[in-house]
Amino acid sequence: MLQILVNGVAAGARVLLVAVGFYLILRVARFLHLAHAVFITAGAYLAYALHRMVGIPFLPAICLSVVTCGVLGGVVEAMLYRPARKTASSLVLLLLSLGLYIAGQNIISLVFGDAPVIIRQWAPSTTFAMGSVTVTMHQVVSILVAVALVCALAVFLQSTRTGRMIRAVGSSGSLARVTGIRVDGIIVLVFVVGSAFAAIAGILACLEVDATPSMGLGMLMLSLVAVIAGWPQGLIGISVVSMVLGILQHLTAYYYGAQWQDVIAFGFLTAVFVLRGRRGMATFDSAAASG
Amino acid sequence: MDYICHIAVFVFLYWALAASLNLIAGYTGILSIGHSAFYGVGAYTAALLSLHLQTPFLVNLVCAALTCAALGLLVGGPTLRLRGDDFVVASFAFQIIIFNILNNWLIVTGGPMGLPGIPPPTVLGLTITSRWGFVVLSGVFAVTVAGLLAIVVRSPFGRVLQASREDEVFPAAMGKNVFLSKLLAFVISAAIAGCAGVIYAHYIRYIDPSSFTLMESVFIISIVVFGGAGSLWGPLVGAVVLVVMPELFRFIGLPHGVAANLRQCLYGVILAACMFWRPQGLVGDYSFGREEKPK
Repeated sequence: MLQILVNGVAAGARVLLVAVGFYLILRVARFLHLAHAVFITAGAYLAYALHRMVGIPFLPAICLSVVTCGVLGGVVEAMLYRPARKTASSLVLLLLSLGLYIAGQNIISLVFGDAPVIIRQWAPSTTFAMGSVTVTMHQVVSILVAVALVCALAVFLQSTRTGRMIRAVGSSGSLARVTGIRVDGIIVLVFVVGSAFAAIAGILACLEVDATPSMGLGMLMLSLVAVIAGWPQGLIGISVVSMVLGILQHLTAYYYGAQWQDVIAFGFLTAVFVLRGRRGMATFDSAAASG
Repeated sequence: MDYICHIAVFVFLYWALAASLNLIAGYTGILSIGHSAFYGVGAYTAALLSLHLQTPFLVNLVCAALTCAALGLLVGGPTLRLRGDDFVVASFAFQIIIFNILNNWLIVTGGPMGLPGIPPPTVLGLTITSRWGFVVLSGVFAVTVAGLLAIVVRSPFGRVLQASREDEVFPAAMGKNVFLSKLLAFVISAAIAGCAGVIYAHYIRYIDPSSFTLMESVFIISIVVFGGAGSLWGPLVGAVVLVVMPELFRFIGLPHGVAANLRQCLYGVILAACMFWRPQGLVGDYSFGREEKPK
């Protein structure tokens, strides 16, 4: 039982990393950036390509991959979303990013093939035993990285000047612009950070399990659930729901079988929608109406 | 010739699917990424009925329409109160759940192995086995659907839908029940998608969950937005272009795996490019949620 809890938290940590980036983008740019999934996959595959194919050592390879994905995210925002945002609604942007996601995933398939790849850094048997619970090296790294990054982000948002600007744009774009904040620049920054987080999550995932071109969507789906369910409570809510989802996933796998994991996760989301009634992401709606 | 007939059948099926999605997405302004779930439920209803109870085609058609309508009622009831992006996510959840049920409920749906051996349909005493027969069957179906929807959108009910797309409060202030109208539109749209699934199942005669994925829903959306959401001819234009164009890849002689990826990549690029340059589609005049940002 305790073991399921630990495994769940480790899985939840990766969900959290994706969710945080997705949340920031949703908050600031105000649309569901489904192409976020591509950056998860791209992070994993780039790291794989740099490390295993080019032969760059492990740490520089992942850093390079993360930075590249971050820059790519910023470029996509500046080149595609920003011109479209002038006239388009959030649904048009959503469809635009859906198209980008499909194109991106298939480009990765074309380049690397559909066969899974893996960058295993530690033997799966590298474990720590704590009483009745065993924790793998990979789980420790996942949890530490996620906690460190999310805490750093929270501190950054709360107490730096740029962080305050991001929150200002998040609560009202037009008001932020009036006060002299360069809104477009802030949005690009958020895309860079969000995409880099996604890439890190992707790399963490492919250290443990195989990377496939469709892995990004699977991880993004869970994060989507976490973001929407945890939305009213901000980062804390999302962190809690991510962990709950991770644990729920492992409980489902244990009792019913892994094939029902998605059904349970999305059943959970449906329940949230039904319970919350028509409010949904109410803050998001009201912000979109006024901004 | 068989090959051209095969493409024609799919053009008609996707025309009907896109036209039914257009009622809810184009005319009502509620974007659903779960349309292929209804398509799949219709196909599986027909397959299960004809395999286990040997029911005739028309009975399957009616049963599938009723099943999908009931499912539409069940899903639409709680979710249609959500707005814009929330509903997109809810329909996404519905799509994932239905796909997983089709894929994993082994005893009933056969899981990834699917259901083989679906008999050819018999309509008015005629058993349809030839490709030409299917072209006629799917053609009649698609034209009926398109005609029916053309009448619906011009009716007072259709005008309520379009009014609620532009401004939800106004038709409500006129004493119209906006929520019930949306729900009815969603149910009609679901029932039509189910019927398309029945024809698909009887045509292909072997169905498996891979035909009813998220990608399939995205493809139907692409047809709607490419042709033009909220226009009568948009779905036809979109279906012709998007079904026929990738077939051209077959003549370049790419390996199968590459061609499949390239095709999907093309759909993605088309969808993105369409949203970027022309959100109202080729022949449409409405782009999603335009009313949220007055110019």
